[in-house]
Amino acid sequence: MPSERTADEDAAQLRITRQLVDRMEWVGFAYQGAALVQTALVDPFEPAEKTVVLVLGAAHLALAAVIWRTKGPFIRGGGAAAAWVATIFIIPVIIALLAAPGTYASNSSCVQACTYPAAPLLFVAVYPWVFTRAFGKSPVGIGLVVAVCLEWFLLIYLINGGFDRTSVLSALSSVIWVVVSYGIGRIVARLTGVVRKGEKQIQQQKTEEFFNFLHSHIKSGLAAIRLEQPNVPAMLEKVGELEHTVSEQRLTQLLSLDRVPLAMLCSERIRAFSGVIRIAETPRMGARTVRGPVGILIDRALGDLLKNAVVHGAQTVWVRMETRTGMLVLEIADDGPGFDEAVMDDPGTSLHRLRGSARELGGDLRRSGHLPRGSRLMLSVPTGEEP
Amino acid sequence: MRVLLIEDHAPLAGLVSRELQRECGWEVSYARDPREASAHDRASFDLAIIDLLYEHLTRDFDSRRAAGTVSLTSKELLLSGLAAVRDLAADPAGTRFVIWTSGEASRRLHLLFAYEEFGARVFCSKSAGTGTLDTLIDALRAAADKRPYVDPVLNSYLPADGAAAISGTILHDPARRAVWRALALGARSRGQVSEITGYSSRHVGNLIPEMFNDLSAFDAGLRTSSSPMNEVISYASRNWEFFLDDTVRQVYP
Repeated sequence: MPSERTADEDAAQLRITRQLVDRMEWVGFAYQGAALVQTALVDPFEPAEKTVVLVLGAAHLALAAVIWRTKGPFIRGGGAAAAWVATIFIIPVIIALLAAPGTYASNSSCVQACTYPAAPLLFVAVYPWVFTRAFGKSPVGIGLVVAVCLEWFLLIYLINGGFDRTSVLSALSSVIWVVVSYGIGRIVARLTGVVRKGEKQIQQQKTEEFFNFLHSHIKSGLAAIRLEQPNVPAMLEKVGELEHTVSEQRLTQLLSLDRVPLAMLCSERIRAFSGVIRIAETPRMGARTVRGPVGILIDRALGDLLKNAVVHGAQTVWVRMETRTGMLVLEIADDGPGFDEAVMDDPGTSLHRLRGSARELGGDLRRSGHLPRGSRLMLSVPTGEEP
Repeated sequence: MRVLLIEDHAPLAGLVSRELQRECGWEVSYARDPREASAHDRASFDLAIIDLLYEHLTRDFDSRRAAGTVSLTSKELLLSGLAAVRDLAADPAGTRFVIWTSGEASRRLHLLFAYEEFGARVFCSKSAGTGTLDTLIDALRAAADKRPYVDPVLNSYLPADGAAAISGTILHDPARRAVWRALALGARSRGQVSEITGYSSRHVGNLIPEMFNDLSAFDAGLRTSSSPMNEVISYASRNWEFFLDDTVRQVYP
């Protein structure tokens, strides 16, 4: 099962990619300038046309210098980005028109300036966000690659009046250039994903170490205060609030992990209720971890269901959890007054919302059996692991 | 009854000693860590309360680890409460003990190890949620009566029936243990692991997928991972206190 990416992770990858693009865009222009200068020097042009192509190449090199010092079109976004992408269609037309009569696509190794579109296409593959708002993310790059390739065939047809073996080979060789460039861009995009994951892991580890140290100290400190001042209700209340805040922060940090340790999740939630209601049974989860979304659901279920038991006057609660053929099953029973099944269909209740969240993940929340007293709820959710 | 409390948080230790004396009439001696505790005549105590990690020892060891002065053959690795647990568990007729911990991520493998390897059966959370010492007193009485007792707050850290044991998975094989420890020391590539363990880079490369299989057997939640190397590195760095624990190394060299 693919891992889910959160908005935070998307934002992190965007940040890393922007840093990369910001530093490298000038290289793209320099590469395009070099491609034009090379075609002016190598391919057959009349002197005046050759000068035009050389000027175009020089202009790109000058732009590269400017971008090196400032910002490139993809970082500026909007019209600047669109203009750069537009050049991959405009420049090939200009080159085709400037080529000496009868020489366009006359070299089977490549069309004139065939490497020109490579750089912008590579950047589109690396940085698809540049067109996200306007076109949506994935189809833009591939659409551009196809359009550039078709343009060469169209130009050959219009300028040469048809195709011969050499011109077709020339166009096909050029296609290889742009496809390879786009492919390299996609690989770079994947590498930024790897960097993002590494960065996230390091951050998580540092936060976890910090929390382990801080939390353990705060817990010890608060336990000491409780023992020192057992007869000062106002102070105990404040200590309780502080313990609750620390616990909630700890849970937030736990739930941000890729793999959420179920033992810690249960422990934190059970701790919060252990002075409030008798917890007759708790699950043993050992080293078991689950995916982030499953952990978030289990945490919510523990919080909501234990709270419901307390609010409705139960004296004792039983918490069980186990894995059964790819499903994690949480069962919470209490000796409270019980409830009508219709409650779960009322959109205003936490049970209804919890059931909705469980179903979104492919699971469910059900009342288990009919008890003379109390209630028993069973939440199931797929773990997404291979058996 | 005479109780030995091994706890590094001095204010908490002082209060617990005082309250146990006041409420139960027990005589409590306090040691800052297992090293200091070894100076006491353990046989003279009926009960011991053992914290798992000690901040000053962990911090000192981590500084040495970061400075690169720790190796797999260092005379002593990280000293934790497992040392005291091992010593006391070795004599079933001797001092009974309670493991007393906050149950943080860095202690969860220690808890499992104490349960599986040394037969620890009495566990109490430092902050049980009740705000009193009732839970600790219950735990101590259970230990004195040789009854198991697990604070509900810590119960979830213990293994479910039939769960794969640490000894049968991540600590199963000496070569893989060496690689785990090298990764916990900070090695991040096959070359670095090879340098620390003395195994060839190729052999290390072959061990990593096996270690990932061990890990997946130990924690089925990791089966979804697509990158064994990253997962193994991440697990070793997150649990370095366990992989570099001195007692764990003595039991599983």
